[in-house]
Amino acid sequence: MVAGSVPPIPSARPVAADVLADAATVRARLAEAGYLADDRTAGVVSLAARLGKPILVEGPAGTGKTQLAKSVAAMAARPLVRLQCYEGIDESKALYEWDYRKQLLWIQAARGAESFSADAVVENGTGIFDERFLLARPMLEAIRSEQPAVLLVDEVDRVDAETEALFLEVLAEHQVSVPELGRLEARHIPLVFLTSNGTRDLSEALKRRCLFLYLDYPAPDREREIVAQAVPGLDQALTERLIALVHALRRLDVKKPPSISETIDLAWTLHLLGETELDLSPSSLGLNVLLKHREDVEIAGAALGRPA
Amino acid sequence: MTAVGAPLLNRTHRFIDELRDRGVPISMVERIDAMRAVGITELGTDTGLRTVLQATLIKTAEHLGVFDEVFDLYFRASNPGGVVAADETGAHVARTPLDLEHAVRAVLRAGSDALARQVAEQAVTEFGRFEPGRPVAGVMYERWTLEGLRLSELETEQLAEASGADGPGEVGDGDPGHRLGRQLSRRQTLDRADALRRQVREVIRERLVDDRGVDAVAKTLRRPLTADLDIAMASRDQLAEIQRLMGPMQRKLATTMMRKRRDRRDLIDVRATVRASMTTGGVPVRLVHRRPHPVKPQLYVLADMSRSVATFASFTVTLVTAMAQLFSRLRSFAFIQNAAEVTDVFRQAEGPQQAIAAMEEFVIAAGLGNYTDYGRALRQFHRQVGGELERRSTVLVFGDARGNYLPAGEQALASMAKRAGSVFWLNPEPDSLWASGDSLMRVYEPHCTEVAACRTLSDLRRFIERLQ
Repeated sequence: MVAGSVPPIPSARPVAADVLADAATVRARLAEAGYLADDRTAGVVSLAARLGKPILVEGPAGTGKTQLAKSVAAMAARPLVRLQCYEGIDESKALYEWDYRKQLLWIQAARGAESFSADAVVENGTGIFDERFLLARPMLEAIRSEQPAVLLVDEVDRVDAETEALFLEVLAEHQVSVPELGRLEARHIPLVFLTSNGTRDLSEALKRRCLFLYLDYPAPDREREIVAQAVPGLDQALTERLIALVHALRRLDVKKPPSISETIDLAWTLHLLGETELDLSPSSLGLNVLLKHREDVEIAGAALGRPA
Repeated sequence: MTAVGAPLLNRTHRFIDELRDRGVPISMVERIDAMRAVGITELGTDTGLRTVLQATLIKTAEHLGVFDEVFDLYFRASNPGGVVAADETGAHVARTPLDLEHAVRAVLRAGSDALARQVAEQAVTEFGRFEPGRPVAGVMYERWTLEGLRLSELETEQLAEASGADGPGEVGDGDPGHRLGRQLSRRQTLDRADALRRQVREVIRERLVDDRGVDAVAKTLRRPLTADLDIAMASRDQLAEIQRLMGPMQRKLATTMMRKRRDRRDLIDVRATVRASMTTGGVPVRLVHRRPHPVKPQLYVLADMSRSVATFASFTVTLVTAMAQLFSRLRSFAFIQNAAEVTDVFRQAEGPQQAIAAMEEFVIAAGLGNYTDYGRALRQFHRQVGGELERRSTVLVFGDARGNYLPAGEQALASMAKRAGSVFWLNPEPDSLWASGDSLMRVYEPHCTEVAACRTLSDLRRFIERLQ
């Protein structure tokens, strides 16, 4: 490719609503919606809105991947359509399904009418393959929505590779092909978030179509802000200690490192108990709030309790 | 749309080329996306460009480290803003050179980024012994600078200060809150020292780039991605990194090996179908199928634990530990001269590190011997598991097939291959070596469903992909 030739942006691309137009605005508005994003996160969200591409959000559990999608929907005042993935999910749960009950009812009701021809129904599905009988599942719902929507495909790494391939048409072409009806195209291009915990390598085809955002545990400064926002009354020095402790724990080799919500839980606990000092003795709550496995508590106790 | 200068686009292309040369897979589509994104983004800030390029080019957390390193070279080290800033600081330093020792202490205590940067610049100038034009990666400059700064000594000093005004006698029963406080401030000191080291490395990189140009420096600094590292040659740190990356792959390997090809739908559940037909006036419009029964998987692992494949062995252990936790029907055997069952060793271990330690102990305690004897080990393995093998069992062998010129005993493998559904062999040696010396790989190969060279994580990934 020759340097200097930027491919033009196709005119069919969506004109982003003002709130999503630039990173700074996204960041400010997300903060108003209660989500403290860093520059990178805000930048990727705004870029995705302008390019009309899905965002693949990856990262450890409890770093706010799902919340990001919810907060973006809230801040942009767009409907949120959520597809929770699980092993064995298929197109009838993700894309669309024919409502056979209504189809049967229609046949029964239409049987008496002059124009009704059973042969036509059998041969080319006259009457029964109609959008009226189509049940839109989340993906179809998101692209057919009257208002631009936010589509959250949660834990996409749980679906099998075959089903993953079914998503590609929606994600890249923004359409769903129904054999009996033809293509159903998007009324608006939805802003799509796919979250993944990285338990499985996703296919190259899917990754190629997405922007990638890795949400790691927040930097100390940002986590401090998050705690301050969630638990406004907490003593500042204590917050400082708490953040340092959480960050130290995340670096240990524990089964489940403390997530942001656990930091906030402990902050609440400390606040409610009116503590002024972090106490890690076995009888205290500290480590037991942050860590969820007995072995982890032991590892952490050993690593932090005894001075090296 | 922001007007984007040709130099930036040109640089971006070279940046992408460099990433690809390092092995990061970037397709044409992604390159176009990146260029388009650069075109429509306000690039006033360093973060803006970084965000845009990262989101469009990098699609896995595994490559973020490489991205950052290369990005810093191409866009940070010699962007106009950066140069101006460096000059200003340079002039500033010339006027009032810092007392470096004092400044380092301040950095370790309070950790201001700006001060750390200034310290790094002055230190590189003073101690780096920078020789223009030399095609080096700057490792020695870095070492000289850090030695000149006496960073390690000052760090230790600061740590000692942090860990206790009160004497060592009291420490054991000291107030836990204080103990924790000390631990945490120790950690902060360590972090600040690391940050300063990073700054020094950055300054050196910037000077190298100014000296020889970015492409040349990038080439000097190029090293393989973690996924492409030779597992057998990996250092401790690299091995830890490899283990971290293996997580998702283990799951994938395990599920692929276990998957039995069968129809997605099982037998019709008559009861449920009749019930469902009630809603449609007794016409069974919707057939209800029984839930597919997950097949109880059976996996048999035989792993070479000899010294000659020590690093590969710890890799194997890591892999098998994860699989042992995922699948109950997994029997594993370790062998050198003799083979012995180690299923319980894996089951009791809580993580890969523990499993490796337990395995080392076991190898000695169980008297597995010193010289690898594949023929003997296969016979013993066959004697123990041969009887239970059936079509749904999978045998997985890890080893270099270096038989010390002893009899191969391929009959045992052949008879297992007849009974088992499949036999896979993962060999840490490249296939060009399989016919050389005492390698028995070519002898065993006909009896295996699939033999794969597994030198790197990428090899393992490809193997898994092929299985699907």
